Amino acid sequence: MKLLTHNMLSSKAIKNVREGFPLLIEARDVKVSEAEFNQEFIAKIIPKVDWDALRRAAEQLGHLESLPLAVPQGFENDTDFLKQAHHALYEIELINGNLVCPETGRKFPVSDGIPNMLLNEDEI
Amino acid sequence: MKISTPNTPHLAQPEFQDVYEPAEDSYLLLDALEQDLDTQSPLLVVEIGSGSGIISSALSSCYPEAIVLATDVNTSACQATLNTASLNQNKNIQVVRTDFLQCLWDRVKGKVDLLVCNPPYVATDEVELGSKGIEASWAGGHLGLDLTRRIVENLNEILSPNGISYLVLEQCNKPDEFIEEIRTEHGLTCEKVLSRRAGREFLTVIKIKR
Repeated sequence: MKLLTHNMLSSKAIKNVREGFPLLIEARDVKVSEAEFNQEFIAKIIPKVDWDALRRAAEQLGHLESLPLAVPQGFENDTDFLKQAHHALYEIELINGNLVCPETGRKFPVSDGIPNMLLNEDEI
Repeated sequence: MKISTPNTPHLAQPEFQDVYEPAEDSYLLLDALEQDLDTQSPLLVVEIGSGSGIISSALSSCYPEAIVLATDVNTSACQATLNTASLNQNKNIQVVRTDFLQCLWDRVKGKVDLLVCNPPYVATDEVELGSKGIEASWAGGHLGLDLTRRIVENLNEILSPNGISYLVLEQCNKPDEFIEEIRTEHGLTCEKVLSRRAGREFLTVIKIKR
């Protein structure tokens, strides 16, 4: 599960959960690999990303590195920034671990890179 | 838009026996997409019920610059989708095990540029619903429209302003009546893209947008 995906997951569907985002990460196996960098593409994705959630996730995976606190002005042309964003979004993967609802503590297992977000009838 | 059929040799392995193997409905959807999609890349592509992953993989190859989110309730299907992506060099597919975008909803609603689904379209009793195994790939409840209708009811919320959805219908779904329902009850534009007879089934791919 890449952090781009984590950025799209929430536990709000659970009864009584107000936000459920971002999910906390308990990491057991993390993989870092290389993915082709496409500046234009990353620039298009940045507006859709919750930057704060991405930073927190990277930190929980032990890969905060020098990810800036906020998206800079004129980010579309800031290659250094976009490369860092690309690395965080695409090159760090949680293979095994748990995603945790920040309000209820409910754990969603991640196995072989796939998060299991199935909720039981009595949870929703 | 030329679409190559992804390779799926791994589906013969026993661990994937619970996964829907690509059949005429899958190929019809691929043909319809090939015929109808244009070259302008969507940003966010979502598949509900990816099964073997053949559709997501094809879309991923078509649009290497899109984010492709493949979802399925069946854990073997999720794994199969990941394998299909890997085999076909699709770097932009993400797989999430979930029921109908649950847990993705809040973050993707209003942002989906392309939503595809080859749904469980066989008419069955209500009691056959709720499985997370192979039955989930065909058991469609009343008129076989359980999931299909759920998608249509939520399309206005799911799709981005210019977003499009492609769904597969079978004649037991009463396509003409359903298309009318899509237009009148949901104020959406809907047209048939491609139809084909496949054994005892008569399949139609429809395209829906605002």
